[in-house]
Amino acid sequence: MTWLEGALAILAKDVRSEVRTRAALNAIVLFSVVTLTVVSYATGSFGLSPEVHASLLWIIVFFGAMAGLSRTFVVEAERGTEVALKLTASGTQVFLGKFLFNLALLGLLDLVLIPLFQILLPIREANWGLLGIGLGLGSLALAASTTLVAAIVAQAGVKGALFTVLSFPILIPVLVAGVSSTRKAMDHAPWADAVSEVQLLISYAGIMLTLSFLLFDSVWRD
Amino acid sequence: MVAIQVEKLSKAFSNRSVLRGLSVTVQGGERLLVRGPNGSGKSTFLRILAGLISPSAGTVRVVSPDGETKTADWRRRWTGYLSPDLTLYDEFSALENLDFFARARGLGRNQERDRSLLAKVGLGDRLQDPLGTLSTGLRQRAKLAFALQGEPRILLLDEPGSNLDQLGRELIARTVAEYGTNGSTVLIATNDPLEFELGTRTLDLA
Repeated sequence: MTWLEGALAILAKDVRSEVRTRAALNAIVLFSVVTLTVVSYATGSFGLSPEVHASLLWIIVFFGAMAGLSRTFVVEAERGTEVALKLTASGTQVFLGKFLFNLALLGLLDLVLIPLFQILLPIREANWGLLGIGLGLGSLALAASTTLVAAIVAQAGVKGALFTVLSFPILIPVLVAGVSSTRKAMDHAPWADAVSEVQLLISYAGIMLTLSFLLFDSVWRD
Repeated sequence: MVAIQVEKLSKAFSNRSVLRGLSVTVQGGERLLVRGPNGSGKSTFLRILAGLISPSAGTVRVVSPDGETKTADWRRRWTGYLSPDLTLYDEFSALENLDFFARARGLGRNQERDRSLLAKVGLGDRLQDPLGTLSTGLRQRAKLAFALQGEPRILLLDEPGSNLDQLGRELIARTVAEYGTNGSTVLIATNDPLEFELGTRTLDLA
């Protein structure tokens, strides 16, 4: 239990720090809201197909995630607090705490994005359950893979766009499956039609979480 | 009581060699003063001992009197580390910082223990102030409290007196003496002549 308590302490610390500094939340939410507003203004009253709707939603989720998810490690490296963290917690505890924090951020983004999307780019009919599951599993897979990449980027001297550059190739399966399941949900398709996408997202998240737990110590320590 | 056994320790950054084949044994209760000019590897040596970086070659073993080699987890739990490159969370108070690190270390929450430690380092009346609002000297005291959290068996102090006033330096001297007396292994890296008398033995790095 001590191991889990340590990981949860890191999560609680990040949440408290985020509430006070809003380093990641501002970046993610502002990017998403501004992008969605611009897109809705540009498309106006044109009826968008489910394909375009799904693509736009995932473009916003992806770049919103890129704008904020690396902050959790980059801030630690820039401020020098990662030394204290390395001295007090194991790599896997840090990974779990940061992963849960990134997952919470993405969950919050999803909760903000969907109602806003419905207001600015309304979806007439949809399989809302499938839409939620696809977005939730996509967020889980995004958080699982980007947490490890964020730790690698934080150790690099040149950060900048490195996070997006490293993340994109790894996230292609998530984006493909996420867009596909969302498109089917917006097309009001039955659950059975999206089984393969859901399976892919679950498998991907499982593989990335396992890999991250195995690799994180060597990324984090030196 | 534990001893630190360092054998043929080397560290290079890119092509620049910082430590070359350093061998030394520090016994429990001993206070080793590590001296040397800038760039001689004092801080690197302490960072390796703290487990923050890996050596390029050589070994570091922490050994109990019965010959048992301690694990990395044991070393993380029982090592206290203070250095200029250590930073605590500015947006949290000293008390909040200690509370978080205690939970991360697996020590559990205990406000009385944390308050007592902060009072010991002279922060008793600034417990609730965010660290970012404190002077560098007071932040150094908070870092000392962080290093002393959990009553470490190994205490690594890199330039412990930096930014401290006379009272702060006396606090460092008392702390080093106290930990040496209770059997902890203490290493102090410094170039400050005022701190030279903190050690019971000196290691000069070229």
